[in-house]
Amino acid sequence: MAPNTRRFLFGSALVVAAGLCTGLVAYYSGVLPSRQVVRGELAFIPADVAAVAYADVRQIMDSEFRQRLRSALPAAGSEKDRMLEATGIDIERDIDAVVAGLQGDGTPGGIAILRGRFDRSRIEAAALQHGAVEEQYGGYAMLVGRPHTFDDGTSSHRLAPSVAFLGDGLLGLGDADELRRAIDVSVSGESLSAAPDMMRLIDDVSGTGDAWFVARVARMTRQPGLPEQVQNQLAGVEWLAASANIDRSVRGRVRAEARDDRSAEDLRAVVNGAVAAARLFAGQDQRVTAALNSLQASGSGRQVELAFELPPSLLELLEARAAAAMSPGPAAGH
Amino acid sequence: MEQATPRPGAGPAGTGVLAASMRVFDLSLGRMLWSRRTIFTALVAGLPVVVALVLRTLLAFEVPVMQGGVTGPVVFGLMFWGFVVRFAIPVLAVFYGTALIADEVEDRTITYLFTRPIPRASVVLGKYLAYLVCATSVLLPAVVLTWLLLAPIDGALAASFPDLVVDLVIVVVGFVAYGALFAAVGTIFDRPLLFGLLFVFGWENLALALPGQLRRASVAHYLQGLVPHAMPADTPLDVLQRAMTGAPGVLECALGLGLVTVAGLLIAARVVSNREYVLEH
Repeated sequence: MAPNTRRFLFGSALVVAAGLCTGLVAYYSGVLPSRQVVRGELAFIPADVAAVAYADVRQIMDSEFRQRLRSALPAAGSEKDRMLEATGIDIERDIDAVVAGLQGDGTPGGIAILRGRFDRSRIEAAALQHGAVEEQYGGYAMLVGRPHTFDDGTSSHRLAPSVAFLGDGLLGLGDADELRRAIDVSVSGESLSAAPDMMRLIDDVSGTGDAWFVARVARMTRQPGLPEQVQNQLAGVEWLAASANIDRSVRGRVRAEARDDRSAEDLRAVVNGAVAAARLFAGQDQRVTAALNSLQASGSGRQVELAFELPPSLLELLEARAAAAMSPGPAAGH
Repeated sequence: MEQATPRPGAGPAGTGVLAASMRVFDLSLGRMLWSRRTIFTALVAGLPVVVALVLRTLLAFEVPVMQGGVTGPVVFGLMFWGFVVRFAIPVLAVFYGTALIADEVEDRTITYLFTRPIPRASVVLGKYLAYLVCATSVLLPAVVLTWLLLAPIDGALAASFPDLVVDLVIVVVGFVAYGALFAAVGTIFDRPLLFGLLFVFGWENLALALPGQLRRASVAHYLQGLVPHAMPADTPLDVLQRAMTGAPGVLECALGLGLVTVAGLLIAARVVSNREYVLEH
């Protein structure tokens, strides 16, 4: 083989190898660790939860979309201050990611597992200031808050908002009984890994976005206060999974798994009708039209999918409306 | 005055087809790589890289070219489907594949190859391997560079990396199947290039557009069945995707492409082994 030919082939192989190595490094340092980290948090979520949600808080907080949303809705900052005052946790600085498990079936509560860098003394000070007591359970330290009675309109529930230190950089928030159960399932193995259907969907959506959500719809629709019309529309849906990527814009995908092909067809018809109606009533605003044009309904068999994008231009609309709401009205009495 | 090539045959005993093929491969690779045909190949392969560079430049100057939910990975998927799979692979395979033997006949150098004590089938196989290395060494880096330029635009290298790996496999598999088919065409027809272009731009498009099972008689049907990228809705490409709703499974694609490759190479080797090439001065 001539030297020129050898050099050309070597150069070509080098470009391909460099590209593959770059992709491989990105893949193993991006997608896989996030999946492994999430699995660590999922070990504390009981197998019988109705829904699981995940958010890469760091990525979302740093995103351009979030920065613009914050300037459009300055009131959102007060929620952050309230959280800091009540728990000693700074959402913007302390939390990297959060995984939440919701009970459903009309039962309030659930737990949130936070991963990040937490100032334990500050959290303890804030909790003790609000009347919490220290407790050891299953080898983990807990701060159990004073129980509150919560009435959802149909029945009353007693909840004790608590904090559990679940290991290095891992914090559990939720009702004291729920947190004790989370510790139990992490030991007994009755966590989400024992729910193959739920894990199948979690494996599908994890790593595909900065935030995702998987739910057993039948149990979620039994929540009190949910409009009957919504309950009827969702009656044929078995599973719901959604994921979103938040950067300059929010790009998301919602996937529903119907009980059977007929239910899926009905749902597709409802989704297509809703998209068409939204386009019809969107008006002339180009920003809303752009967002609606990004809606893409698809799917076959039992699957129904809806992809969407909330472009940065939509925030301009929000900013304009927020500014209009904040500005003083025309002076009266002249 | 006419000069007849030596009597067709399988070559002398003792010279293995594989060893002889490697000798032919070694001889042919340099000639093939530094031919005018490679300049055309480089131009075709370089086009998506240039488009990606232009896109990156426009984005660097904050020109709003990516709107309506279109991201870098989506553009890469579109370019791979629309340009690489539907155009670059078949066209490059036509230009190289049909010329494997035809060029030697045209240059009247086939006599020198056939006077060597090697089986004639090894000439086809060696030249086919040289074409594969030549074509993939030009197109694969172009696909990788395009991906590196486009995938990070509103996307992530990590998320689209598995698709890239599949894409690279598709490029190689595409060259393997189309190359074998056009190698056979090059040994059978007098005007193989014309036939090959008619097959790619005429028959394949027609077969894919028509309903029924006719698409199974095209290579594109099996190759496109492997492409992992989704097409955006409400565009002409969506129509293409819907037409592909009955896309074959991976096993069917592998069987289809394998059959084309084996049949193509066997036909090419058999025709070259049995044909008496009469070179006119």
